[in-house]
Amino acid sequence: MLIRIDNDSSQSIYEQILTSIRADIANGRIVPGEKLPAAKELSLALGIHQHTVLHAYKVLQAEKLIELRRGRGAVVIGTGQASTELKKQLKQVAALAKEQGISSQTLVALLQETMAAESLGTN
Amino acid sequence: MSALRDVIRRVLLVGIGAPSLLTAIFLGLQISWLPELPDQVAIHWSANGADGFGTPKTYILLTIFTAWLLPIVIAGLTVRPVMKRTITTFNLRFLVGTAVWTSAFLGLALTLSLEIQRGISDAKQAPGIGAQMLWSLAFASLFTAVVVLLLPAVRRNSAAGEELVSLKLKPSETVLWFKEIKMSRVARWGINATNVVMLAVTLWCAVTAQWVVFTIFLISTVITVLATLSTTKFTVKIDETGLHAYPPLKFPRFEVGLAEIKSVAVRDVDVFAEFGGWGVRTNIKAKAVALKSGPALLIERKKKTDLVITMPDAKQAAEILQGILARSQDSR
Repeated sequence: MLIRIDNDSSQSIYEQILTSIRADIANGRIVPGEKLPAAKELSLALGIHQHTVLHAYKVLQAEKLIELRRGRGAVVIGTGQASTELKKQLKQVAALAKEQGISSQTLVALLQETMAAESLGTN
Repeated sequence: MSALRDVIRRVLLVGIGAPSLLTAIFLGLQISWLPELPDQVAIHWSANGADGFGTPKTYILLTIFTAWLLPIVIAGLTVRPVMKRTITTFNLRFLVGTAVWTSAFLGLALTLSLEIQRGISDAKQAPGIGAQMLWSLAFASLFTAVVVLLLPAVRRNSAAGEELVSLKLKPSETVLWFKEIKMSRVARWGINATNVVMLAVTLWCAVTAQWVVFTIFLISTVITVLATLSTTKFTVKIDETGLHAYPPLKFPRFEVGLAEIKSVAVRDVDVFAEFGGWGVRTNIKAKAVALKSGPALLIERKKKTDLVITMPDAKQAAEILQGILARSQDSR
């Protein structure tokens, strides 16, 4: 599991942790059944408060990507693994956004809006 | 190809043929002595003499397992590395030699321990076995030295490393990489099954056997369980300070600080051929967390032997470690 925290980024640390873990699950680098590091261990390694890590883990639990089990810690349960075709399309979208000068945060917001609209059945 | 076939033939002749021949001789002798032995014979000795007892068939079963089955499994495991040319001549001779020595020593020791009990009516009268152990040691050492010479030198393929692209890191970034690595499921099942059997035998001894036998099995079970917890699963962590690898029991730990690292590489490792087995291993060149053959992270250290850690994401780990190293060198 790779976590990259950019201290100069406008994204909060807990959001960056979420992004890293979601990307690893989507890329198949972490698979169902695999254990994430304990919140205390991760917080010590990153030099942040344990609650920040726990907050991220709770969000992932709500997204059904991980399960918090007493005695076992955080265990990956969802795949959410993106297909090769989806990754290819995403690369093209990212290249297009860069061409048009759209930031990654704006792109993510657009994507969230689009997915929300899709799930409501509107366009 | 014919040279390779000849090597494999000799490995099978020495590694499987020799233990099989020895075991056949030992079993033949033991079975022929059965009518001359009491119903209960001594199977364990301490400083005070014979203190553990069982049926003569115990010797036969132990001889089959320790003088034949175990050695031929050890020797058999060298065949694949020989065919793939991943084993060195030294390791081949060492591993096959270990198999042959184990067969010769244990087989003869068991046979001689039974021989001295021929004609006695009470197993408690069994004499000491010090001389028998020494004879077995001498025979096993000489026999192994002679037969291992039959093994030819092997030509090993040089293991090519993978090309790495260091992770580019900004000065403002903190990076952390975690991976849990384990032995294969089959290996873990086998080890856990062994632990369960050891525990069951210990409990059985608590009820039926002498306390000496029970204590030996209890200590052995505790050791194998602790060994399982400290060698079958590791967490590998890479952060701004370097690499850290530790099992659930947190011991043994492997810590490599950035300043200790000379180079980082990735290559395929044949665990059995290079380290003679799985778990926490060592050879002349390297210490290893060798849980599964395949890709491995190889860290060349400035003042110590290399560290090898087998893991599926070895390439990613190496590129991250290289990236952290490059950034720390740039910032100086």
